[in-house]
Amino acid sequence: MDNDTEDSSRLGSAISSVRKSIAQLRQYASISRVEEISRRYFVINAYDGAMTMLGIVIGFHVAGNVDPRLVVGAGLGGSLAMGVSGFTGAYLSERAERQMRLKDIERHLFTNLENSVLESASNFAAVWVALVDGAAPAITAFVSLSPFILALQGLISVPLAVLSAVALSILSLFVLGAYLGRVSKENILLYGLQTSLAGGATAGLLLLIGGF
Amino acid sequence: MPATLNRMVVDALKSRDIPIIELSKALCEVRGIGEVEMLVMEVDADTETVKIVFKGDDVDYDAAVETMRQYGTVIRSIDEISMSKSG
Repeated sequence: MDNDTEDSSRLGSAISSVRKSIAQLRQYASISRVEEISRRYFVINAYDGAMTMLGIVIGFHVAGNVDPRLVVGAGLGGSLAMGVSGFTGAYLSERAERQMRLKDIERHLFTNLENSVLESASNFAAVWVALVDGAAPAITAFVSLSPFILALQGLISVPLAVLSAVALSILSLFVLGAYLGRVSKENILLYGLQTSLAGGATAGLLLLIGGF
Repeated sequence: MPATLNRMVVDALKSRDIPIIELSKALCEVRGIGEVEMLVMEVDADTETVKIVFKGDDVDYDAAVETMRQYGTVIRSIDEISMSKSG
């Protein structure tokens, strides 16, 4: 009975400490106003991921050798590189911007902000933005690559994988556009069409260059 | 005979990055503070001048100053104070 009480009190304190940590992270997010910038980073990089995969898939198609193993290898390599580049690039640039802002505030207040909530919020923002920036291209790239993973398993044919990958890439671009339309409270369809049109134009250009 | 701090009004300069609600909540956590009132007096590009009123039974002044620093706020002047003899 005593052990049960001890266990439940331990569980209770663990839950309350998790809640406290979440509340603190929310406070850091609100102070650093990270939501807006991470939204921007997410859309830009997810857009990059979908567009790059579209380019890779049509590039293989134009070259006339669509080997699912090669497409998956090139796609995974590309998305990993985009992820690492997004993470490190965003972390370093965001951290530099935040440090500059922090030093600016220190100068205005004539005080040292070491170990302050403002410093923690700045560090949190840099890591959060880097995570978003690193994960965003990988997510859309994985969506576009998924038909080739199925083709690799022999579940669908290669021509179907090419068509599905192109369709999924353009659909990802449409969803990103629609999301921007929702954020800006403007025409969702129009925004979605604009971004998917950019994908369609890229695909058309690649096919044209490759002479079908 | 030690004295306890019951009420204090300060003029402070804070970063605009910190919302007054967050600062007020943090100050309410300081030992001895039972009530906080905050009034924005002036707004600049990066900073705000705020009037802060602390009320409590035995306000821990040093802890209040440290909490304010953590939240990007510094005291410019102490404008009113109310102390009482303890014990």
